[in-house]
Amino acid sequence: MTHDDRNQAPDPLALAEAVAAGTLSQSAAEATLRAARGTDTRGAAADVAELGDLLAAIRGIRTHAEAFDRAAGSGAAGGDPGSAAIAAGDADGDPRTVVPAPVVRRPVRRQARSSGRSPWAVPGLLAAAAVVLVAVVLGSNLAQSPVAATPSPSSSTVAVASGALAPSAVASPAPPASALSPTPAVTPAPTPVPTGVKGVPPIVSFPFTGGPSVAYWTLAAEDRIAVSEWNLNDSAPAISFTASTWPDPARGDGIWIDRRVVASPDGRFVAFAETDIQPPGRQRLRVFSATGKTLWTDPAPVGLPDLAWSADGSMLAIGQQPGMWRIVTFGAGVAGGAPSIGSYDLGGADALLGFAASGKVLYGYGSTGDAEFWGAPITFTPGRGVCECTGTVKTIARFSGRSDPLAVSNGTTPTTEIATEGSNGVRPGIDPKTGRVLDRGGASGTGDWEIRDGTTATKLGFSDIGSGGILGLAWGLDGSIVVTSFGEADSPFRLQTVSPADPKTAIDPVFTLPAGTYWQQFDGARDGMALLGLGADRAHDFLYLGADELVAVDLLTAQAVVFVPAAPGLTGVQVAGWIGAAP
Amino acid sequence: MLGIGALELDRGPMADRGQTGPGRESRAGRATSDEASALFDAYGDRIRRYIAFRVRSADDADDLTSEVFRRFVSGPVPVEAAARPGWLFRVAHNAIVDHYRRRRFTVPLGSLLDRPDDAPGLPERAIRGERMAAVDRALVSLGGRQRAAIYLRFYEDLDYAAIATIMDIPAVSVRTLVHRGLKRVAAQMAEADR
Repeated sequence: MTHDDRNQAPDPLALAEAVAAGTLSQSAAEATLRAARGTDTRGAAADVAELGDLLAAIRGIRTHAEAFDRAAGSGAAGGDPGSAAIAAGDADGDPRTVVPAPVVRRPVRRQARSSGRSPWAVPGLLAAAAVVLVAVVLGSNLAQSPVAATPSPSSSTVAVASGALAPSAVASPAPPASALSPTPAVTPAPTPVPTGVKGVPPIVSFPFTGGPSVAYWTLAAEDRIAVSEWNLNDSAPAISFTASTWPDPARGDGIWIDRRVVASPDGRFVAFAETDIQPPGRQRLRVFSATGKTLWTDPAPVGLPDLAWSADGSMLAIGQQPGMWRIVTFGAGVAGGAPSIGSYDLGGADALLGFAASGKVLYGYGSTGDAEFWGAPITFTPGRGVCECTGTVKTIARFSGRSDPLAVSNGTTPTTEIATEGSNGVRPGIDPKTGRVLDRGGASGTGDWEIRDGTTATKLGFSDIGSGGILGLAWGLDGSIVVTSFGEADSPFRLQTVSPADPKTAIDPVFTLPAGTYWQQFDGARDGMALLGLGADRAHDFLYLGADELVAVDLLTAQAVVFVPAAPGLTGVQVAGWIGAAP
Repeated sequence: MLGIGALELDRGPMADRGQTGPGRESRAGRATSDEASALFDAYGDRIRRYIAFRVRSADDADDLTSEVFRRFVSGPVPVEAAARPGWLFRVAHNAIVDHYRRRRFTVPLGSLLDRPDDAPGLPERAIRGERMAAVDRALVSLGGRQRAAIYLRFYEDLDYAAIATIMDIPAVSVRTLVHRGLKRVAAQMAEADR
């Protein structure tokens, strides 16, 4: 392994903690920072100032802790934080501002739309009727009922229906589209149809004839997961199986079995990692075929792994943050024999992000210190051959958007942090075309959404999730940004596309949902489609973290298609990746 | 490496913690009432303070603390005594998340955890000076996860690996939360100094 051009920068936080703990003098810490900067006096001054800020904050918090203890009626606590090791890693980037280029939209998108009769018309009506019937039978408890059954591979897709069941339409062509945006091909608007999920507003479900599909999973029973696929083009799901899982040993007391299910982008494979975080701890990683055949069981599984599929679905990268990386190559065929495995020790400092489009390089980042994935990017070129445990790590200044960009793919890597958390990675935070990164504020702590290009940051002017408002952001078509905002009891849910140059103005029709007390999740965008998860209020079911229904929204028209699984299982539907999307 | 095994808050360097697998035997079992009583005596205050730091009212803190120890006596718990304190904090953390999920059901869990807690600041009589007031204001404004990370690091003096296991996030994310939180506190203090 080689680390080309890698700077071993001291971590100001670790230094500040060591100074606060009395194990290092402030002058020595400052000298360490200056020495690391060499002739860069401006950078050194900034580091020293940051050290001072952190130290003041730690001391202020220590004083606050003592007051808190007194107020709480006890004098315990205090002492030294014992793990203030000085770690190497990149510091926060320079939040300089650049003016982003405006989005130039393609006049025509690849999404074909049916102009004739929907292939879903009959099955959709039947499915909608079935959903309504089930809703009537089960009443308001539908969403709360634990259903220990495998989800049917056939979707209950809500399609066109007549009747004034709904209070309002929800696909609203709000702000005017830009001159570069195509005119939405609006067919006669059908009436929104309730899906039977308590509290979730009715949504107009338009027929789609193209687009990627969505792999999803749920806990069908305490000891069984069910994996399936929702095809937006209404073709039969290729992925459909159930597999054993460790039951949660303390269900009701929190989540103790971490499950990560990620489908390969071509739909051939499904990786399923589970980690029991209760003592004594155990972990397992299996890769299944689309029909549920166990193709590979990891002989040396790690806990809470990072997983990333290559864009062509032939390779699965397995990492741990930080630690060993492995690449499992499945080759061309499902029945092609045992996969080959390469293991690479990266020295314990780098975390995995995903494959480059070529599949020849993995992207990652230096994970020590306060580094974010955009702050210390690396590329890793594996050695050739099976189990040839060599490779090359190279520090890069920014993610590539040209030579060999990060593939838009499926994984559980930290890029998912740019959007909502809680499900698997279908929300790449790195624009494959430009290498720019969407993130919510960086290590500078401002909490404002921004675009990072290397160390250069451009604030978008959105408030942080922490202060309410924005639910999540993702890259849309042609460098545009998809912005979703909370819908709460007194405000509607809103999904719109904006240009980085004018992030407050929608450039395409806006998709909205009425205000209400229902659960919402934004699962990112791919191929001009945004994916939402909606669900009933399950305030008392801590483990029900998935959706009752999935909604795909065409970003250019704000038209939606709704999917209601036949059985949301014990956890609700959780997304396991896009299938067939452009890499 | 993110630890997935038993937390041991009272011994060992960070690098030795959270390892599972061969050579690391840890089991789950049931606590006796004597064990539960002893643990409550030893950790009841610490657990309650952590909860009180995160929720709005003393009643809520009491209820949730009781719930943590109820779970301790009713469910499987680590057999090793050294693993139990960390397990308690983990259960307390889950209980707080559950508490907020019950109250804020319209947002996904991840977003919910990044919103400021409902917990109040220090009572006015406990605040000494403008700088402490600034720290208090900053802490109140932090998102829930930042607040949890700051508390577990500087009020409980846990190392990053232990906090990572309690919060079920990577250790590097804990460091980021702490770093950002400290910067926000520093900014508030600087403003107070001006």
